[in-house]
Amino acid sequence: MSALAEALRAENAAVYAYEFVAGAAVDDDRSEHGLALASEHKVTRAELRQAILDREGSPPAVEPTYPLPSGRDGETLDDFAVGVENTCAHAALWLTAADDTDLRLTGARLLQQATVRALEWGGELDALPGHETR
Amino acid sequence: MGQAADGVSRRALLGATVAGASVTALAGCGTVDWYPSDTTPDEHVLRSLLQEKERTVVRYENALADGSGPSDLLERVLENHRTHLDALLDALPEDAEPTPPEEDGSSPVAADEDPDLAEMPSPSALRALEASAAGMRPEQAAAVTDRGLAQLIGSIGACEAGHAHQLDDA
Repeated sequence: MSALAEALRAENAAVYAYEFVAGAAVDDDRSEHGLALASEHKVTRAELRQAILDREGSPPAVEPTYPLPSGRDGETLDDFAVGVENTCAHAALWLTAADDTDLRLTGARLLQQATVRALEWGGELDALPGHETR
Repeated sequence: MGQAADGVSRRALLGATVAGASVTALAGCGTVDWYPSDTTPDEHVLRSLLQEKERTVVRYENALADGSGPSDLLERVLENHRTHLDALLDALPEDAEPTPPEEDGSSPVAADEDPDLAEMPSPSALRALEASAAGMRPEQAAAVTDRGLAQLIGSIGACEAGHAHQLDDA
């Protein structure tokens, strides 16, 4: 259950982060990409929240704020988004170790999604994504 | 976790024989269970992954030898697959042989001698290969009992999904 809660915390932060990116980005492409990913992470957030409730757990509360970058230029926002996805990937990796088979499947799927999204923002591909190698 | 022994890496030993396992299986009739019955389910999954990964390495080596694809990207992807291969070999049980026991006494066939792997794969074919592999990883991660192995398989699948994305962009 702790891995599931951690994955939900990461998704809570990702929704906040991408809504920030969508609003802070000057160019339309970056803003629209941020908005689209905010929506995708909202879907995942709802899925994980429901998974916790289905297992009679208590979903962690959404924090009032999450860390944001000080800069607003494109490169800073891209790096920030890569960090957001790496955090989600790390949380998803722990979910792949769950005893619950359904959660493992979810974790493996989310890990793949986070890895590809990080690449879309210009991140580098690790041989073993989700592990803290950098 | 197994280690390389006496200057001959487990990867090299595996590479000499792992593709032969599929040939051995195909040479028989129908489904041939060439793993001994005392092989654990986790080891069975591991050996399937090792066999598949070894063949993937050969495909990328062939693509690089052909020289028609994005060589920088293919080199990076190949290195990732070699890392996966090493990690999977390390995940074998300490007392496991780097290659599965031969049940019918047939000689192993090296992956680089397998005629099925002799073709030069296009980037689009490699992309399809990566996407297919990534698609299988969640189920494989769910099928093993060892949680660390599940993480390793899940992480390999994420890397393969990344490869598919990069090859799509290439």
